[in-house]
Amino acid sequence: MNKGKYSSIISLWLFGFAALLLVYGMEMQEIFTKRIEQQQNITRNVSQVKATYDALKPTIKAWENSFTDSEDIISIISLFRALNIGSSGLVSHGNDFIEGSLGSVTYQGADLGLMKRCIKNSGTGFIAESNSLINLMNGIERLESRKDVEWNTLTISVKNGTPTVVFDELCVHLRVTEK
Amino acid sequence: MKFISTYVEEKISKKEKYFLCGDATTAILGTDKQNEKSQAEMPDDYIVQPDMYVNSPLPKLITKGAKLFVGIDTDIASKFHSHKGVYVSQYAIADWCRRNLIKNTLMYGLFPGDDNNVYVQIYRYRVIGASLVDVLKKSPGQILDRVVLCTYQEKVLSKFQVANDITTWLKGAHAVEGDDIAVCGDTSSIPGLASNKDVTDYGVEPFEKAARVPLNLVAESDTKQFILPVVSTLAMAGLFGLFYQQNILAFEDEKTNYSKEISGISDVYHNRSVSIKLLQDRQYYLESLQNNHVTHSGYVKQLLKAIPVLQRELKGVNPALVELRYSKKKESGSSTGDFNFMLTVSVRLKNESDKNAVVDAVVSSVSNALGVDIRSSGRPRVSGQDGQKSLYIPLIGTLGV
Repeated sequence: MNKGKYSSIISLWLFGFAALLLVYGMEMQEIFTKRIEQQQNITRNVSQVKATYDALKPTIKAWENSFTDSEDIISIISLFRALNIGSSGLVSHGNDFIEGSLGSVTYQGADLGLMKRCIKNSGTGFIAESNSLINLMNGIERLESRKDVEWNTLTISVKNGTPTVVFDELCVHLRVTEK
Repeated sequence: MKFISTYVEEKISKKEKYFLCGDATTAILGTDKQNEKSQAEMPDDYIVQPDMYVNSPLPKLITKGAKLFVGIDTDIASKFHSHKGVYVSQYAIADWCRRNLIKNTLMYGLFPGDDNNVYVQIYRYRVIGASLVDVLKKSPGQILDRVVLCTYQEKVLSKFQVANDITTWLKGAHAVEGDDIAVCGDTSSIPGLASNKDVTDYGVEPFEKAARVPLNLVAESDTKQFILPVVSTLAMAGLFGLFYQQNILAFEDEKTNYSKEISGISDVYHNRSVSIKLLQDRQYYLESLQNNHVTHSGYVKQLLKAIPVLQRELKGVNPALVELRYSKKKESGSSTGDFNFMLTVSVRLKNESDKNAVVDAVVSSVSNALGVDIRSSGRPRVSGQDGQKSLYIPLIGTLGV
């Protein structure tokens, strides 16, 4: 066989190879384009989730700051301490604490991972006093400002010259430990 | 002793890619038996005629696969220049080769075959000392697979220079490692090789001792044939590579973006321990607590503030707070989310007959103070002695949210 024939065969092979590369390249292009689009969609979704998550990050902190871990409340006394009633300027009327209602906290039907434990210091509810009506009101307001304390009804009165407030019960919201 | 033709035939039988010729015209064209005669004694009638190549062994060897035939007989000009037949034979061989199998490998520059140019060039080289390289340069592209330069005539002063020129030129211009230039012939002309031999001893031995120089030559005509497919292939490969690179890079970029995005929230996105929805619910809940606090706390404050207002407006009856009952629970059945409250105040009456007027005044004052409608929630009760009588007025109202 002479060189010319060799050259023709090699040329043919090269053309074939080139064509093969072209076809393969086009197929790969299509595959990659699809994969890239898929990846872009995934990344876009993740990006949206991340943006939402980033926006909600302060909520995680606020949540932890607002509510005590339920596992830290092991007794009725620790529940009363969690109320920290003294910091509000009120004085608890008596130390015979009674467990009040117990339940989970939901918001618009959604479980928040929050439980509610309530406490009373008398048969009628939780009674607190202060030396003046103004101080009583301030105490109530401080208690009201806490996100982890809940009451439904209060009755303010002046008994024997002592401003008194009677809550139906005072409830503490506690974080349910997430596992 | 083997003659070149025999030697080449052996090489061919071993399928060695090895083709050459050169040396004495007699050796090339004659039969082995004929070559047993000394070229020096070769009769004139042996000088080949133009058609003698047909019967020579060399063309037969070439047809078996010879890729190159180059004959440079340095002895020609000096010894047989008067024998035109020699040149004719060279010419004939070249012409035959070109017309048959090996036109691409034949050295056209030396053997163009169609006219006497080659002859003249060779003659000029011999006679006027023109460099063989110059001759080769005049025939660009006519490249050889292998060059075998064979010479045996030590009396030709330039012969070593000829071999040297060729190898230098080939190496410089076209040689690549992998092939050989075999220089053979009169070994005395090449330093370091065997001693000179008589022309009758010319054969394979000096050839085997020939110096070998790496060479790889591709004819330009061959190159042209490969240009298009090679360029096409390279272009396709380049295009493919470009596509591939772009896509790979784009894909890698996306993956990197994804990794960056996912890295900060892997616990959320993968473990799902804290869902976005839960976080949103908690956020809304915290906000609602804040709003509720403002609302309820505000209402209670407003209700308490109503007492001093009442005291200012009803100085004569000394109104005092008895009880304020406030419930966060919404009034049942209310679509507006109103909250109930109950306020009980006591006033000191001078005369019980003033009771109704006092009740009206209290309701009006509290209502104005709160900015909401309130009403008496029950029958006012009077207690105490004359002059010290107290009137208890239960009030009820709703606070809109």
